[in-house]
Amino acid sequence: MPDSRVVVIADDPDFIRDLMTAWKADHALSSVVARSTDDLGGIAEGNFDLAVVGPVLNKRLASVLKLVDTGDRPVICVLKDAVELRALKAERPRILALGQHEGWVDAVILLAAECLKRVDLLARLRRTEQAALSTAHGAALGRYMVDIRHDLNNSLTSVLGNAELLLLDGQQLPDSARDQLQTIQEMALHMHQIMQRFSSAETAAIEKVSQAETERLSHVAATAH
Amino acid sequence: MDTKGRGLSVLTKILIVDDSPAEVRLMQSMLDRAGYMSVAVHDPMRLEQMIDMEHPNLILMDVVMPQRNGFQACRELKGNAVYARIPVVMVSSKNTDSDKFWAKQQGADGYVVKPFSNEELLGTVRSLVGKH
Repeated sequence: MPDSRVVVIADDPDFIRDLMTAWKADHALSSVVARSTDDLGGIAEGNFDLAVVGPVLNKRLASVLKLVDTGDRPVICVLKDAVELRALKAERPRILALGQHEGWVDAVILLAAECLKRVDLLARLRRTEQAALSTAHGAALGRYMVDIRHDLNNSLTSVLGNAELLLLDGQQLPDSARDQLQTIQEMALHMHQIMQRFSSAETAAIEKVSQAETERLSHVAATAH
Repeated sequence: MDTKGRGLSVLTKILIVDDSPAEVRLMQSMLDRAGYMSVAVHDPMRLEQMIDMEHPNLILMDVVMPQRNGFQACRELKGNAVYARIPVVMVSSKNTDSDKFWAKQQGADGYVVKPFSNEELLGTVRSLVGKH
């Protein structure tokens, strides 16, 4: 998940150093940015895919968690104090709470990798669902257009055909009536020409949508592997 | 029976298969005017029954119909030795090359695109059953 953005928030330099060193050693993980609680600009705008919160200065944990735990991104919180850890699990069950015991760095890296994998899969799923929805809309519109074209062509057949027959047999009709029939026929022919243009545009649009969707779905399928 | 024979000549009889009464009336007017005898069936499920009764020389077949579409009906006629010799002309608002190719694949002998002129319809009929 090289495009994923991870933010580590902690006021303990050792915590940041240990985590960043291990992180950089793991090539599978995405880029990571470390922040102290004095520098949380951009966090509120949600410019991250995963947040890892470590030891912070006194009383700042609640406000940091409130900032990052927005419900749509995973948050890992590492705490030393077992009581504080239990309280956090009870208060914010969505947050992945870990104790800062021996091996905590490996545990965080492992958990972070799984979280990012899940984030990536969910994003791909959303894109695929949108592509499928768009294709379904296009198909429904196409069917609707085909139905309309068919019905209009059927109606035009009767209008044009009957006008033509009346003109062929209507030598005895007054000139004004023949003029009116001529107008009906010409206008029906004009409608027919519009329908033909509509039909060409419809075919081109369907081909364009189909090609774009095929490319998009191929790309999604290729990147999912 | 939704048939309506017109004209006195029985030399060439055309069977129209179309669920739209307005289009049937129009085609009958064009054919009658040219001296053909026309009969019609609105329900494609009764096509074979109508052929047995009327013995048409040619069939004008709509494509989009309920229960049994024109392509399907044409394919079934052409696959039946009793009816296979009767020329079938598909009459359709579908005007792409693939529609015409598909009609030919089903055994259709001609194809008229809606909306059609008097001359387009009669020209196709004449080419298959002769002039009246």
